[in-house]
Amino acid sequence: MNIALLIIQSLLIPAFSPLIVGVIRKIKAKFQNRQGASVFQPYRDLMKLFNKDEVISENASWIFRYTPYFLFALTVAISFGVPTISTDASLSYLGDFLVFVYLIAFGAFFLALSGLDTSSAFGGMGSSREMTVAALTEGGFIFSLFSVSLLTGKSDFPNMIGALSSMPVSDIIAPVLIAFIAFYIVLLAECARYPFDNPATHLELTMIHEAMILEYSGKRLALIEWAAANKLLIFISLAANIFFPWQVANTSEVVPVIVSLLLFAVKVFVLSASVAVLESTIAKLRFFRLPDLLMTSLVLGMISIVLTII
Amino acid sequence: MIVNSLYFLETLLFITVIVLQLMNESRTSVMIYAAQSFIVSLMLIIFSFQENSSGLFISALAMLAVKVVIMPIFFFKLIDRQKLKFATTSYLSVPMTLIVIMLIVVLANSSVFRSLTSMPTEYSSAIPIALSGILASLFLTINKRGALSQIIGILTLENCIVSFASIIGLKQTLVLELGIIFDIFVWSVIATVFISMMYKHFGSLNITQITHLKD
Repeated sequence: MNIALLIIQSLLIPAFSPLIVGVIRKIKAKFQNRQGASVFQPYRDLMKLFNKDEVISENASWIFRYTPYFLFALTVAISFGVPTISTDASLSYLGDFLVFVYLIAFGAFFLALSGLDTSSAFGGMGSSREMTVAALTEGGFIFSLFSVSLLTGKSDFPNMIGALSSMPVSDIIAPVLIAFIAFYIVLLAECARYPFDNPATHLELTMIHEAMILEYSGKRLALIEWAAANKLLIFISLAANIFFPWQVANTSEVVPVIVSLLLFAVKVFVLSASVAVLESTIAKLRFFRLPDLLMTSLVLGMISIVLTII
Repeated sequence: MIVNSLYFLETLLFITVIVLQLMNESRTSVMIYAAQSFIVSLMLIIFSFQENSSGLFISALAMLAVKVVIMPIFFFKLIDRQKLKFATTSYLSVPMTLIVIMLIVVLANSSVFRSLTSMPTEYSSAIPIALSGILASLFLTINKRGALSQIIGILTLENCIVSFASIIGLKQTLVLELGIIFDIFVWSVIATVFISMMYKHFGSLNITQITHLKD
């Protein structure tokens, strides 16, 4: 394994995640006939927040104080297991799909706890909603990745990508495409995007993720926002490379890595644009309609498994 | 490359059947039907190039014109005239519908249909998914309450049968193919007229609310 490439690959996610958020916002602005802020605005927002003082409730415990650091560290740690440009430079034990699912769940658990910690009404409401959505998402999340794992006989992302890219496309297209749709629904739910949540709202009737972080300000808010952006890019990277694994480099040589990096950038842009288009063209679902969509993800995952096994 | 794109299109066709089950808006359902017909037409165009058959190419173009352009226009006019924004609710809830679809996929891959799915063709791996599409579209016709969505269900079934027949290598003469497309077009026109009359008479297209058939 090439340690330098491992570090570069893993730092790609925290380095470029605010850019992806900026790109999505820019596309959404264009859909609304607005000029929109620069794609680099999220970086400026983070800088501004890092330089601001913060207010912490006197009732807040260590959970509230340390959750932002924990969440940010968690997303950076996860990015060491996500092969973005080369399968040769990822930590396979961190990239095991079950480890990944439960690390994500661990982060959601701490975020929900921090929402409850200050005893604000909005925080509790957001945490309750987040846990409901997280519990319903888990089935589709595991099954969509499990079907690829069954197909390849591997459980870690680097080996899954390697095995999948060497299989005949006609043998894998049906289960992989269906699993991808299941995973895409999970991506929207886990990253608090439409139709599950509106990332731009602070309306108490609808917010989920924003309700949990309402009490945060300054540096801690910056870290949480950055961690959320990291999470979005991690999910997009997985959707891009697990379900469309062709041309992902399996060595540390310069040319294949550069080709893989360029293709990765294209795939990430297409997926980010799809999120933006979706957010501009559909309405947010009522909270009680969300289980239907998450059930769809679960059953699509199961159909994919059936197609894989039989 | 051609084989891969056909597998891809067949999977997309199956996904559109699932999406049609979940859609409640009439207009969206018609758009998905148009997209589905486009996929089937594309499959026929690929087959026509592969087999160097101009007849198949002509029938694919006719299908493209009738099913992707003309019929959706008819349906959109009907929806606008009768204000059928939401007319496609189903008997089973979304989770139950999806579970039934999953069971259909299991059934299509089971030994019950082994004689069909093990046919020695170039695209044998796509047969189970094509068969799942046929069964799922049959279920779509049964499961929906609205008359319009039942019509879309029947047309979806026809699309799935066309794709299944193409995959297992059953192709008809150009005259017969064009005749079938013409038949479907006439049937759709009659169905839309019939739906308009039903709506005028009963004030609804939800078949559970049409209770005065004796009148």
